Parts: sequence; structure tokens; C-alpha cells
Amino acid sequence: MNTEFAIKLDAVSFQYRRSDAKALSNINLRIRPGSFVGVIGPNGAGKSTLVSTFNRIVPKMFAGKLEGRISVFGQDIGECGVAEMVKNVGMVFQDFETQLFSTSVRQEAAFVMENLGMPREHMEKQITHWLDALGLSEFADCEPMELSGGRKQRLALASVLAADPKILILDEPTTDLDPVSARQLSVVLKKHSQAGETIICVTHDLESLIDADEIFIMNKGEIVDSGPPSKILADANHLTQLGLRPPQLSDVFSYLQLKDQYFTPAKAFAFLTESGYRLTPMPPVSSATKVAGQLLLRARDLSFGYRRDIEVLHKINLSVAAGEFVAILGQNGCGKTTLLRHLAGIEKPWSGRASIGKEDATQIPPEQLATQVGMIFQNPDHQIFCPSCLEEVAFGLRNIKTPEEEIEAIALEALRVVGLKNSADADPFAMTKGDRKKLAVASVLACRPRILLLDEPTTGLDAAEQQSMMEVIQKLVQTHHAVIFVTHCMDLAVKYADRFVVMAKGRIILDGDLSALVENEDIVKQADLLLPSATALGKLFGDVVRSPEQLTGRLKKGL
Amino acid sequence: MVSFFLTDNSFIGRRHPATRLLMLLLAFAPPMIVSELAPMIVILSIYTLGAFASGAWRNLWRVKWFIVLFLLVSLSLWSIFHKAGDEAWFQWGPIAPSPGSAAFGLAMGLRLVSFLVPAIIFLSSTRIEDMQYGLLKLGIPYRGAFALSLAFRLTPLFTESAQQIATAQRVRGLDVKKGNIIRRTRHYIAILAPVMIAALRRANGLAIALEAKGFGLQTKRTSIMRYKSGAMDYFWLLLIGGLVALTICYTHFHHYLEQIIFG
Repeated sequence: MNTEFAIKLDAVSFQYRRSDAKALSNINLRIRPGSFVGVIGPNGAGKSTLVSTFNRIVPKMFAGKLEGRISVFGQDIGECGVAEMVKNVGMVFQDFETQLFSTSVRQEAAFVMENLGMPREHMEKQITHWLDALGLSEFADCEPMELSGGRKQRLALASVLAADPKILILDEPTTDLDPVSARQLSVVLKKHSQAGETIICVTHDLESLIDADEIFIMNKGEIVDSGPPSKILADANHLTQLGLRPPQLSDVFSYLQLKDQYFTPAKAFAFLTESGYRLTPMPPVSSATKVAGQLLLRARDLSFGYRRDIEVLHKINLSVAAGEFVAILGQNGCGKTTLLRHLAGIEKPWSGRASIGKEDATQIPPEQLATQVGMIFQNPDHQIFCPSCLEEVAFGLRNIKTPEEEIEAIALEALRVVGLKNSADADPFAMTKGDRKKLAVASVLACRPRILLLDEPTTGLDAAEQQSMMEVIQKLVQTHHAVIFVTHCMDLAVKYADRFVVMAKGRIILDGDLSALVENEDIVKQADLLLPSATALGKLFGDVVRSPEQLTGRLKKGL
Repeated sequence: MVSFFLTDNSFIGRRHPATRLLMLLLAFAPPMIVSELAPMIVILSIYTLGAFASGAWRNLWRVKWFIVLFLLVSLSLWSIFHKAGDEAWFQWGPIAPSPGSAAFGLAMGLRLVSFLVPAIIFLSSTRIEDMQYGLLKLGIPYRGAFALSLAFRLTPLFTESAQQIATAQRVRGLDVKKGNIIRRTRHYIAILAPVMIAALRRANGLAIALEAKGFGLQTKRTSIMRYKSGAMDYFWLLLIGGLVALTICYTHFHHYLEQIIFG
């Protein structure tokens, strides 16, 4: 077996059937065995298509025209089927839920190994090891469907890792993981590559690639740059131009026009202080900027479980006023989404009460709360069904009996707020996921609820789309809506939210502003969170910082 | 929770999966053989006891309205159209319900329930993978066994997806129970259209995932499951086999029995 390259692509191009443009254009690529490789780029750049050619999913499962030569460990794979490739290549998909179909976690983890004909004792050993490594041991006999999103993603990983593929492809493997789990996964992957396995990771989380050996940047079907992280991640301007979010510290160092690059807050702090940088005091905040709004929502002693023997929420108390932007943070499976579902009236608690204005949300069906609370789900496709954006938004308005002559004006206004006014006649299914999420926001917003609940509003979006989405939400807060959102993306939560509710094991363990979050290191650890790098660096300087822009604006030399 | 599996720690769940499948097939035989009300009640009573003993009664309770529906439909249809030969309560054209036709209708309804109860006991104590394992041990080819089990795997997945979609539409003010039949039908389109799209996506994603996970490789497939059949497996097979034999004997000899007992 030729082991010079694990994967070698020569002049590979691919065009999907019924598409005018090439998804991949003249790709030449070499990946060495045992290397940890990152593939980055904006949505639609061709990243998933590229990695899907490595195990023949493209073109076997997605029809189109493939040109060029692809070899895996020196073997031309042009005639191979997808199933044959599993001996060498394991893949975890972006849409990991479709990958789970067994009725127990243990069975799911065994499926690939069973197909490969591995001995039972070896399978047992691998399952025990990987379920333990990914924190799933206690769920071994549970149904995968009962797990939280993050745990499902870990199971999809375990089921592939257990079969020990020589090449492991991960397409956005951390979208649903809490920050600590995401970092732990990076460590596990690095160890795996050091043990000789080739890891190829497609991601928007650039900080997870700090330990990679090589990073490829893709744009419009081409590889536009490649190199080690010290080169690729250091060029914050280039990454930003491509619509990617550079690691926060890279942003800081680029802004300060420093050639040295440090990706950990401690090293960055040591370098900056040695170089004479100090943090200037925060400018005083005008007292007129924040006025406590009308109380819109109150949860009192909410307790709930999906099964009688497991309590998911324990005596939750929470009040939210108009104009508040609240981020709910916490580890996978701690009850964040379940809490949102209670506030929307979808779930009824075992005990306690959730009041929306004067109404008791625990006694009223969600359809009757539509004009007071709007909930936007993680997957926008769960609600879209109309042939145009305007009709989609109008649907909710008709449900709440809005007079027919007013519907179009209100729907257009909702589309304008989210930046989709010019797409009123567009087919929602032909839009990007980012725009479909905005459409989901518009269709809920049109019913004019004062409270908006968002479950992972930025999952699956690239940096430019994420920022655009968060700016839409911020505008709503400024117009006296109360916004409560669940997220694992600490960068965005810290940058935009003004209140942080941290949950662990079904309880609220912190409820406060950014200072409270930054100061309570123990609570951050307990909830498996990590402060964004710029905030952590700001903390080392002894202050509270929201974003790289805020940090660089206050870092001055020679004070 | 949409799947039927409850526990494999029951007198049925502890049996070898192939034994469980054979027991299920054998359990279908007695209600097929008899058609009279009295033996049908005896058979159903035995199965219902089995449901309580194995813990499957919780799932029986979940489908209680189906059972009631089976009984009502069977009772009314057979009462109307079956000619039992005894004196009718009343006659309206060809329709002449009588005690005999009502008893026959009830027996046919109980027959349907007698098919349902063992199936529920089986599903309550058998994971889909165990069923597939049992089918393989009974000589069904892997692809066939997997395809058969796929229907059971996909039902809960699609149901879960449909529930999520219905919830997403309800928070936009959709009340499917409101309005006349036309309005309700229109409401259901808001749920059915995304459900269809989600189902197609899921099926497509599943096909890709199966291939990428090595389904259908030509290697000899192994299994994480290990079951050994023991004396208890044979005991239970014999017991249900005995019930089948008793039922056959009853159909052949019950006239003699009645003559002996009633002269």
C-alpha cells in the first residue's frame, strides 16, 4: 500500500446535476497519513462536497459529473462503492441526526463494526471506550431519540470512531456541543492523529483548528489558500473578507498590527504586557442607555421531566422584562431547550407556573399565546411550507385572525425588519439556510409577540450569516422586545446578550450580567462553558470585555 | 415516547429473539383456528394475562381506543350482515341482526384483538435489533431482515419529526382543531407539507448514512448481541404449541364434548 498520501486529488472537479456552476473546480490536494487537517470556508464554498468525494458519497449518492482522479492510500477509488470505503474512511455528517437509527445508544455505536465483521469482544471494548470518552456511558441503554442534541452529536461521533477508520471525516462536528465538549473533542482528535489516524475536519469554529497540521481555505469551489494554523488563522483580515470569524486573539493581534501570534489568552497576556500594553478604563456608560422595561415573563418554581424518574428542570425561577437580551447557557442536556418550551407553553410542568403577562402559560395551549410569545426553532424547515416568503409570513397572521386588508403590509414590515423585504416573492426553499432562519424569525415576528424565544439561532450559519442574524435580533431588543436565546456559541452570547442565565443539571446556577459571568469562574466551569478568548484575555487584564473589537479599542501601549 | 419497547427484563424479553418470534407466530394460530365466542374469550384471557405478567399492559392501555374500535366495528358489521340462522331481533330488508350474529361479530372482534395483544407483548419486550437478530437466526437473509425492521425503526423517527413540525406551527397560532372540515384540512396542509419534506430528507439522509456506515458490505457480518437458547425457551415454545394443539383438538372434538356433557 502506498502510504505517502492518505488522500490525493488531481484536477478534481464536480458539478451537481441541474446546477449551472461547478461545486468543485480543479482541486489538487495532498493529505499525509496521520495529519490533522481543517477545511474552512463560507457556506456554499464546496467544503462538504469536497470531503464527500473521499468516500464516494459524491458522486454515488449525489448525481453529477465528477472529473479528475481521487486516490486513498495510493488506490484509485474511481470504481469503489460507498460501503466499500468504510474500511478506510469514516464520516460524521453535518446533519448527524439522520445518521442515528438504532434503538439504543450501544446498538448505534456497534453498527459500523458489525458491518465490518469485527469480533464481539473487540466491539464491546471499543463501545465501552468511546461511550466513556464522549461522556455517554450512562446513556448506553437509552434510545438515541431521547438524547439532547449535543449528546446525539457525540453518539454520531462515537459510532464512527469506534470502528477505528484510518481516515476520519468530520463535517461540522461541534455545532451542538457545549464549549468544553468541543475543546475536549479537539484534544481527542489531535491524540488520534498522533496515533496515526488521518483527521479531516470541516468547521466554522476556527479556534478548534489551532492544533491542526494544515488548514485549507475554500471559496466558490476552489482551494484558495492552505498552510499551517500559524499562517492561516493569523491572517484575520483575509478570513473576515471571506465571511469567516477568525479566532478572537488573531483578530486582536491583527488589529494591533503585531507579527507574533498567540492563540491562548495566557500566552497572549504575557506577550502583550511584556510589550507594554495596558487596558484603558471602560468609558462611562450613559445612565439613559438602559431603563428596566415592563415585566413580560415570570417563571416560578418550574419543575418538569419527560419521564417520571428523571427531572429535567428543577424549581426554575426567572423573570424577564421588555428590552432584555437574555442568553441561556449550559452544558449539553442541562434543560435549556426544555425551559424555552415551557416559556412558549409547549410543555406543561409537573409543578410551578410560567406567567406571560397576565396569562398562565402552563394552562394555555401554545397557539393561543402566539401574539405574546414567539418561538423560533433550531430547524427553520420545520415550519416553512408556502411557495413564497410573503405567504409564509402571512400564514401566521391569518391564524391569529388579522384582517385580510392589513396582512400584506404587516408581512412586508416583518420581512423588512429581518432584511428580506426584497425577497417577498422568493421561494423559501431556494434560499440559504441563513435566510430561511431569518424568514422563520419574520413569520413569528409578524404576529407581534413581545417575547421572542430562539433555540440555537445561529447553528449551521457561517460567520457573516451569524452576525447578520444577531444584528436582526439586537434590533428587536432595541424595539422593546424581550429576547431569550439558547446557544452554545459563547462568542456571540457574550458579544450581544446583556444578561446570562447559566444552567447545570436542570437548575439555574447563575443569573446576571457579563461581569457576573466573568467573575464566577467556578460556575463557568461547572456548566462546561468557556469564556471567549478576548473576554478571557480582558479578564487577565482585570476587566470585562465583550469582543475583540472592544478589547483592541482599549488596549494602549505605554500607559 | 413513540416506540413500543418497554423492557426486555420480562419472562418474554429474556427469551432468545428467535424463540420470541416463533412464540408470536404460534400465538396467532389459536384465534385463527376457532371462531366461536367462548373459546375466543378463553384465548384472549390467556393473552391478556400474558400482557400483565410481561408488563406490556401499559402499551395495551395506549391502544385501548383501537381495541374498542375493532370491537365496535366488528360487532356492528357482522351483526348486520352475518346470517346465524337463529331468530332475528328485527328484520329490515336483508339486515336481520340476531343473538347468533351478534355473538359471531363479537367473536370476530375478539379475534382481531387476540392478534393485537401478542404483537404488543412482543414489541413491548423486543428491541428492533433483537427482532432483526431473531429473523436472521430463523434464516431470513440480512438485507430482508433489515428491511423488515426498518419499518419499525422509521415509524418513531417520522412520528417524532411530525410532532416537532406540529409544535412549530402551533406556536405560529395554528389551531388544527378549529373551524369546519375544509378549514381543518387546510390547516393540516401546514403540517403535512413540512412532514413530507422532512420524511423525504430523512429517508435520503438515512440511505446515505447506511451506505457510509458499511451497510451491505460483502464481509461476514457479526453482531454485538449474544443470545443462547435454553430450557426455558423450549418450555415456552412447548406451552404455546400445547395451546395450539388444544385449540385444534377443541375444533375437532368439541361436538363430542358437548354431547358427553349435555347428553
